[in-house]
Amino acid sequence: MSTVSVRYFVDDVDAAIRFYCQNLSFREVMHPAPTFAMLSLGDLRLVLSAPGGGPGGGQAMPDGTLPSPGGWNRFMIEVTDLDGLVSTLRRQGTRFRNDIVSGVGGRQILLEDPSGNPVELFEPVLPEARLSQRES
Amino acid sequence: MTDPLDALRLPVIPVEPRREFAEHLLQKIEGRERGGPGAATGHGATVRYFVTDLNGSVAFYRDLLGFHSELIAAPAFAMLYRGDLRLLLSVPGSAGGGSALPDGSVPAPGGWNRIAVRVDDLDATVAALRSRGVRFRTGITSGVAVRQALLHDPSGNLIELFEPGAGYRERAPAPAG
Amino acid sequence: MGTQPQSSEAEPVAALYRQALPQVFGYLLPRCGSTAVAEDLTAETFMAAVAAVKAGGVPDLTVAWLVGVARHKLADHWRRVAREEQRLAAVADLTAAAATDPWPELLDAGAAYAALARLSAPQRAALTLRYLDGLPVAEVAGYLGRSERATETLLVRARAALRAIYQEEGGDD
Repeated sequence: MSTVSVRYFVDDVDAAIRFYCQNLSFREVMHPAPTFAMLSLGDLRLVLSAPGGGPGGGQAMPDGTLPSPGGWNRFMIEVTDLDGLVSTLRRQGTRFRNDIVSGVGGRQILLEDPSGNPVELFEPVLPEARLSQRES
Repeated sequence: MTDPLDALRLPVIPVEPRREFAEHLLQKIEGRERGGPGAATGHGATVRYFVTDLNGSVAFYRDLLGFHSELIAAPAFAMLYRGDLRLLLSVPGSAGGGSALPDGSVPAPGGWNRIAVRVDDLDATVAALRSRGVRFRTGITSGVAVRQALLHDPSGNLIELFEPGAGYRERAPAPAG
Repeated sequence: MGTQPQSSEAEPVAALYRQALPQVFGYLLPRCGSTAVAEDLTAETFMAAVAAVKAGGVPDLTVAWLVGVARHKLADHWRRVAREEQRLAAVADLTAAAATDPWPELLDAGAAYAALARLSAPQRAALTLRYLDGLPVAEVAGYLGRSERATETLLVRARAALRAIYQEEGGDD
């Protein structure tokens, strides 16, 4: 089975591991160095790197520039209870870049991990849910 | 003076396809739409990149990095696949994923976070891409159980190419005993 | 009753299907030259739309949006065919001398389409996008993955080739 790898830069690898595993159901695959970890969620492999950390992808560029967290590019996660998850995250102080947006096919929101990296949460409209709503 | 092309300037005229085809396609559509979340692929992962030129970006990922274009909705959005990676390309300012946020900020390409694409022969891949004018941010370097190189897409987004080495694994090792 | 619930929110593509299918198929059919190809591309268009909706990538699902998706599916098809048709490059080498010939007064759309079908895939793609769809050259270049200058050159040769084939077919009868 093939996997999809995404690298996110974080200020604190341990805090990032806690955030993704406790809130978004990621599992830890490896954490061989303080500045590098790999998590998994289904077929997604999330590589967490702290800038300047040497091997592990966080090292400086040839011109000396260090990578940093942030930006707008992001991975997306499909969730089944967006409202519940957003409430839980808000109670913990998680930052969101917007409010829940409704569109064709579902609802979505953009959150920030502790380092300010965006993650897109998407809840598709379920035909089964619509059917049960009609019957109640 | 007249031109054969004048005869071709016809408006889009609706045409009903044959009934068997129409019914079969509708069944496929309803089956896929009713299948619930992730029914289409059942697995995989999705990443959204922001790009400034949709057609040029699609050509870059398709022709140079081996992506397959599933859907192109120019000028705002495209959906590409490479293995289990579904890459959404969004143009900033367009409705949907590219629209401005409540605070007025608008998404933009760039940043350091990136997809990591696995290749079988990193040396050959890098040489071939360089010969086709692709800009690299780094040469080939060593990471944790991989060798890798960083390149730019036309909008300035980063893509990591990596070749697994000894000791590379994607899953937690099974518990001993 | 026993009827299927029509939840357009959960099945937006199915809800639009009755209205959109003849438009998408009608767009593709005269540009494909083959019912089988038009059906394949129609199916690909709708299934891709379903996937895009499920990925949250469609802010506004309309017939016009679907036709736009179909147009790109068509361009992708031409690109694949062009790779297989490289040996027909000789057609593209017809000179512009034919451009100065006088035109027949009576035009036959069927003969024009038949002549179009005999062009190479890149020439057919360029003429269709420019003259059937009325797209500006810059947009045509985008669909074809070529520079504007290369597209202009392609259009000049395609027009010359079309005229030559059309006259050869006796389109002025």
